[in-house]
Amino acid sequence: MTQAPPATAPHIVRRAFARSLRQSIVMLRGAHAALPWLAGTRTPNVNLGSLYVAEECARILVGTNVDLIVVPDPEFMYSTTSWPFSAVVNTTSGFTPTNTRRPIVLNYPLSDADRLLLHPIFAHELGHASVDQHQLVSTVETELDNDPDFTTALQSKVNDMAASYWPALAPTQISGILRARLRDWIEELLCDHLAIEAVGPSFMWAFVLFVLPLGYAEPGEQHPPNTVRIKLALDHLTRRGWRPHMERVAPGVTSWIDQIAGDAAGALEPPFDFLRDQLTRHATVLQDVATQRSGSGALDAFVSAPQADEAADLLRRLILPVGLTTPLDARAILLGGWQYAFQEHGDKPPGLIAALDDRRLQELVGKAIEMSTVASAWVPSL
Amino acid sequence: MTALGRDDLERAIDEPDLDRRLFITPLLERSQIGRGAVDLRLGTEFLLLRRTQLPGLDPGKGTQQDVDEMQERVVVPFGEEMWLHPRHFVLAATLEYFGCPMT
Repeated sequence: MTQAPPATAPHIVRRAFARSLRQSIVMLRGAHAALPWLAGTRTPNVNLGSLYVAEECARILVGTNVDLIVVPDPEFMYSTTSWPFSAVVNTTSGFTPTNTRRPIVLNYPLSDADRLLLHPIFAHELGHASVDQHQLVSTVETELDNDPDFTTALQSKVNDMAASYWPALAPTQISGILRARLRDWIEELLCDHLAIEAVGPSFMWAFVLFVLPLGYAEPGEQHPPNTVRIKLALDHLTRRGWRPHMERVAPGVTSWIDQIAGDAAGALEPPFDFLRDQLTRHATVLQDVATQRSGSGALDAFVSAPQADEAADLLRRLILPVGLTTPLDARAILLGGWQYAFQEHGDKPPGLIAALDDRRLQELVGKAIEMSTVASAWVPSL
Repeated sequence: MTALGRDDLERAIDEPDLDRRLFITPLLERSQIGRGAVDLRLGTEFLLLRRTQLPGLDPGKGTQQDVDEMQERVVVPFGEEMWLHPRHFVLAATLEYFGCPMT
C-alpha cells in the first residue's frame, strides 16, 4: 500500500488513496472469512464417512480437479462457495493463479455435524459448483429457447405482466426479470437432479426433512416452491428406476411425499406460475442434463438397492455394514442407513425426525462408509 | 473358554449363518488370521491424554467436561500419520470392528 498523501495533495489523489484503502479492507475481510475454512481442514467436524461421500460426489458432479473443504457455517445453513477469493485475486494486479484445481468450500450447519442422514444435501450443494463449472444452466436455457412453445409462452407472459402487474416496466425489462428468475430456478432444480444422480433417494429423504420446516408451497425469487422441487425430484427418481425401491423400503413416507408432490400444481401468483409451468413442462430437459453430467458415476438403482439391503440387514444385526464379501459402495451404505432408520424409527414423517436423533446409527453408518472406502482402496501386501 | 486355532477362526469367519458368524470387518487380508490369534491394525481414531490439574477420572462421578479436559479425540484419516512421542500415552481404536456370535 502506498503512503497516505499529504492533506495538500489534489483531491483526485486523496480519493484514489481512499479507494485503495477500501480495497484493502475488502481483501482483509476475505482473509478473515477464510480463517474458519483453514481451521476446518485441520479439525473436520463431520466424520470421515461423510467427507468421503462428499468427495465422491464432487468427483462425479464437478470433476477430478477439485479441492473440497467442508466446514461448519456460522449462519446455520448449507451453502457452497466456489473459487473463494476470486474477486480479490481478480482485483490484485500481478497475481495469476497457476493451480487449476477448483477450490470448493462446503458449509453445513454446525448442529448437523453428526447428522449424517442429512449430509446427502452436500450433493445438492456440490451441484452448484457443477452447474457453474459445466455451464449447465445455459444448456437448459438453450433447449428451452429452441422450443417455439416456450418462446411464445414467454412473450405472452411478458405482455400479460406489462398489462396487468408491472405497467411501469418496459417489456425488455420484464423479459430480463423473468429470464433471471428462470435461470435461478433452473439452477436450484438442476442441483436437486444432480444430487439424485449422485446419492439417489437418500437425497429426497434428507431434503424433505431439511426444507419442509423452512417452507412448503411458497415461491422465492431464487428458489421454486418446495412442493415443485419435490414433485420434479420424485419424477426424476421414478425415471431413474428408484420408485420400486422407495415403495418397498418406505411405503408410508413415499405416499406422504406423493401427497406433497400433488400440491405442486396449486395456484401461484404471476410470474411464478409461468416459471413453474414451463419448468414442469420441460422436466425431461432438466433430467437429461443431470443424467448426462453424472454419466457412469450415477448411483444405479439396480446395483445399489441390493447393496443397501445388505447394509440395512447388517445394521439390524449391529454389525458394521462394510460388506459380507466385498466392500459395499459408500453411497449404498448411506442408502442402507436410511433404510434401517425406517425399520427402526417408523415409516412415517415422525420416523424421519427420530432417525435424525439416532446419533449411534449415524455414527455406525459413517464408520462403515469410512471402512468400505479403506477396504476398497487397500492394496494387499506381497 | 478355549482359544480358537487358525482353522476354527477361519471357519467362524466364513460361517454362512450370519447369526453364528464371527465378524471382523474390514478384514483386509486373510494373512491377518494366525495360529490362535488375529492380527489387528491401528484405526483412525485416537484419544490423547492431556496433563491436567485433575488427579484422575472417576468413572462414577466424572462429568463429560472432566473427560474433555483430560482427553483430546484425534481423527487421522487413512494413509496419514500420527506421531507418538516418548512418554506420550494414547488410546487407539482398532481398524477392525468385531461382532462375536453367542456361541
